Amino acid sequence: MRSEDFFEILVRQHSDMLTAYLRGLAFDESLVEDAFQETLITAWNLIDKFDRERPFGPWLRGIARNTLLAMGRKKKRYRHHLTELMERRFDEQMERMEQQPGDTFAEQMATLRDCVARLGDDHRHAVDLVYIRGLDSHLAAEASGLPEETFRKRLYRARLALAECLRGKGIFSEAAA
Amino acid sequence: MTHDPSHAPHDRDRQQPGPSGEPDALLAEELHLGDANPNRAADSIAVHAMLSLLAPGDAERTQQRVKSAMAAIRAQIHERERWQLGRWVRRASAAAVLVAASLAIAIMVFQVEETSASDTLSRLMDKASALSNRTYSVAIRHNGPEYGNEVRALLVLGDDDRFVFSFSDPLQGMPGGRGPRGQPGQPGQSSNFLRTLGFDGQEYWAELPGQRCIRSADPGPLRVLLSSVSDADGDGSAILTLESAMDRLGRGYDLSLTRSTDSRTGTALVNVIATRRANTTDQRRANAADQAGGRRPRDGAVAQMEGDPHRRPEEPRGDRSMRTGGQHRRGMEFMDAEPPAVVRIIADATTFEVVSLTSDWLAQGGEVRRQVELTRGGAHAYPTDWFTPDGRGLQTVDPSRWGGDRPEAGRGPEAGRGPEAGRGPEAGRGPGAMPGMGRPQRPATRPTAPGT
Repeated sequence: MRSEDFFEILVRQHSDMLTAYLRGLAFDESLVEDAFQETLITAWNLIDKFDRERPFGPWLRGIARNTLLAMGRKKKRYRHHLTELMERRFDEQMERMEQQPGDTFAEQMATLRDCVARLGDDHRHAVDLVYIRGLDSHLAAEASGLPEETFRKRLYRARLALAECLRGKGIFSEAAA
Repeated sequence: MTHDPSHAPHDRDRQQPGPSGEPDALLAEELHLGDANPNRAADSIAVHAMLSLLAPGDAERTQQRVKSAMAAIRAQIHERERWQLGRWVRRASAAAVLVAASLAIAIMVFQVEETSASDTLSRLMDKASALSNRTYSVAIRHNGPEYGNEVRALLVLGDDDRFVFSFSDPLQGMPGGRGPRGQPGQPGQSSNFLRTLGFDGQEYWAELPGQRCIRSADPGPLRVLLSSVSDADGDGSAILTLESAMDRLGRGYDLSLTRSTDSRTGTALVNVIATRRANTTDQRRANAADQAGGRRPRDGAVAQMEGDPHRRPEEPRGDRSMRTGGQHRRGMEFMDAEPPAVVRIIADATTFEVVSLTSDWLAQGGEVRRQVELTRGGAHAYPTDWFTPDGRGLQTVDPSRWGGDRPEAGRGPEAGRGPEAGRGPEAGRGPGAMPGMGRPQRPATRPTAPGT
């Protein structure tokens, strides 16, 4: 097996994590697409510098973050949405997810699905409209019969509830005091 | 109250379920909260990122992204390998091009006049075209501050046009050998370069690192390898120099044909010496050619080669755009495009088989700065399988990945045939007879023999 084949296996194991990470930092899906490819190509070109004693995920996320920053500098496509503290915390949660038992990041999603199932009807419905059916906030609000701002707050509360659930299940770390 | 989402004004054209449209708006609360409670906001954004993975088809799209990225990475790898391969092919082909160049000179003599000299050369060509089961050694020598090495190769001709051209690593093959730019040779360095070109009777093939090969019914892939690196590497000007030499051969060489005897064996020999005329530019040579007729060459006399060889009536297959410039001309401004100053062919006067062929490039002071020498070796019949990549346990790589299907590919089936190219009637077409020599594609045929 050639080295790029090994690399591909490694990448496939971390592809969901990388997608989630990029979506957390860059809210534009086309930007996520471009950054994803650029990240992998950069990672391959730097693979000789990767310390094999260390985990691959954080290294890949570091490259992804730098890729986004570079894209922001060159094409102004990326702009910082998250504060430094938020980014640090976000990265911490991603890392925590990777450390959970299970082969892939996707397998950790089973816990999230369980948490979604425990949401109240309104919250679960909001999550379903946006994340499963793919509606934007305007259409989802219309489908819910709510003003858009009210729907967004409902969705926000649903995410907070899910975060709490994931903390309770040990997927997310507790917030530092 | 909530509405049935099935009655919602869905965006039916949306290709990708999942959060879309106004991501900033979806996360407005978190972003607003960020300064006050960054942990809480970040956790919510992390949930948002995870939830996005739940969208139907998202996993497939992610795998597709990986596939695209890996395709780009593999293309990058192949491009790198191709560059390395091109370096090798270019080096290995240098001797072959020289042989074709030499034969082109001889054929031009033949075509000017029916004389005893040309008759001799004609026999020589006929003999060469019938050669098989013969081995030739090739030596390429460089002298000068930048080069101080000798590169050796072995050409084995089989039946039905089969050949194998094996290149000995210049950095390992010579005791104290030196690499380009005077760098000492590095053991193991040769593993990065392909070693062998061949034709198995059906397809051309070139061995790549890692027991792999490319193969093609036409030599296009190999030719592309040459052209792909032609502008990239000043170190590799040799092939272009040789090509340009071919480009100019018809414009100004003085030829002589003499007879001699091998003092050691008593064998009668014929000697063809082609000397490049000095102090004339190509244009002046071309003009002179247009204005003057060729002088009748005689044994022992000088034959002024004039006239445009491109007009030769039996050259319908020549690709003039390649030979007279084309993409290879692009690289010429980077190098000294001098053709060899002297080409010497020695053949057995009885059998008309070429014994040796030497081409010299001279420095300004008159000393030889580059020499390519081809010497007849022993006769040995190798099994057919020996000429095939399968017989050598090579795994085939898709040639198209190496750019082999480009329309301009196919400078001639002799590309990659190594020094034996140029045999027979094809030899007269000189420029198209060897790798990178601007010959159109055609089915594999007997390699034209360069008096080798």
